[in-house]
Amino acid sequence: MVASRRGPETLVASSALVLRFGERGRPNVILPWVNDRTGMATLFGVIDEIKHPALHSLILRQLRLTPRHEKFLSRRFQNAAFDDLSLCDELAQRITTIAGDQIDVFCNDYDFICNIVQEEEYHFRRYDEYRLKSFQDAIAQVYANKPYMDSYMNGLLMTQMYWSNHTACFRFYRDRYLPSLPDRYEFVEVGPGHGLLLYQAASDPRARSVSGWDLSEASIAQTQSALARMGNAHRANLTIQDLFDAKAHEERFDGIGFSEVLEHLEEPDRALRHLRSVLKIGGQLFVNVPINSPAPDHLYLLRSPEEAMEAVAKAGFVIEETGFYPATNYTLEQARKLTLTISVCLIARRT
Amino acid sequence: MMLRDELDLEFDHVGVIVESLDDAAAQFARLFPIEAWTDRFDDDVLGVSVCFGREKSGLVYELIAPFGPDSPVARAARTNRDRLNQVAYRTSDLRRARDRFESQGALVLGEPKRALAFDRALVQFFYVPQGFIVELIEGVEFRHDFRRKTSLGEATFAP
Repeated sequence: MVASRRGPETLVASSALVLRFGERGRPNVILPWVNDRTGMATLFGVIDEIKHPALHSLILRQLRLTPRHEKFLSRRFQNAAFDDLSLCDELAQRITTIAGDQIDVFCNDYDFICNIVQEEEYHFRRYDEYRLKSFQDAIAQVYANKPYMDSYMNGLLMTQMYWSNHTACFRFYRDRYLPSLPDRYEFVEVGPGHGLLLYQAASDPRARSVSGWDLSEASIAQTQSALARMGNAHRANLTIQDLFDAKAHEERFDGIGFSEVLEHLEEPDRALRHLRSVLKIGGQLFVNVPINSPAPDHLYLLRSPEEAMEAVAKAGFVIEETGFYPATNYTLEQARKLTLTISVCLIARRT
Repeated sequence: MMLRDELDLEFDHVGVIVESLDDAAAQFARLFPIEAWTDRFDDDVLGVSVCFGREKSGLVYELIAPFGPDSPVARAARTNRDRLNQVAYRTSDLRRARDRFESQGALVLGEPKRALAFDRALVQFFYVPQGFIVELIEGVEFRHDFRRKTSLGEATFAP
């Protein structure tokens, strides 16, 4: 065991925890810290294995498999507040449960999503537009390719912890949006995807009914499987439902979740109007939409948080609350100036 | 050998950090055989003011001064460290070049950004294993416009 002094803490190179990936000749050893006072091992000086065991273990696994993310993750977490780390630990527990024995696949799929998003980022920077132009293109190039989609969805799940804007959106939904709904609320999430948001509503004792709608049978099956693994499948009613064909559900719900769906649509305005029609008067819509966010299946390019607010307001909503969360490791001011991704969360009331 | 052949890199300039473009350009012109200068570019996105000087042999220097409160070169300009800052190459495909640089152990320093001084072409910075910074510019066709002829001490820059 080798130890070197650094201020009040001792850096310990324990063979079980040291990661070496030194073929490229760069600074390349990750060492968890062991705090002299508590004796706890920590990653990046903040994530310790006692207080945040799931997050600690998942990041160690991630870095063993894909060491190139060390710098990014270190910056993401080293200044994170304790409650941010606690939420990430909670998400890490859920993600580990969803992934089961496929957790290494999920970690590698995080690497995959970083690569494909990077590809789109270059296109966006070169041409100032998203690459895809139509939903048909998205089907042909992304949605119809099952292995690609599986990896994409797995990777996206990992970003809920690794990308601070995604974590912040989850927090906004859990701490601001769900408590804003009335007691015994009826809720539907349109496009529940990975199932984390739907699970949160289904676990809320104040909820009377929780539903999930998606056009795709495969997506519904994936959400169902995630909920079953997390242990709350019985409380959510998942159905194949086209939002544009939901007349039977008019004015039915107190709340609608619409997270990271708008940017995939060819007719976002029409979708927002239909969402309004299935909300009760006074009901609340949760929208999470990223601006300047190139991805292989993004079509609807919003360029500022204000543009997103305007689009929602135009569909007949009053914006009650907003949260703007910049791309990981950037400030909101920097993200605006450099046209980087900002996740925009809105609570919008049907008038 | 194959690796070098596959990636098209054309030398563009050597970047030097200075405190003030006006002072440094005049000084440069007194020290080095600079024949011509470009205009000055104040780049709000990159947080730098730059100009380029071409010397007799064809070598191009980029003088880089801090611009704005969060300039990435403010510390270097202040502390006199890392003044000889980077070597820059043009390439036709920045994404491909990034993959190559990463696979050869270079650290990526930030995401690609558009640079005013290169007609808003994408630029990206890398720290290579040899221990220095390389700037890559997407656009092999790009050429600087050395429109300003100067003699010793006569480098002035109108905004």
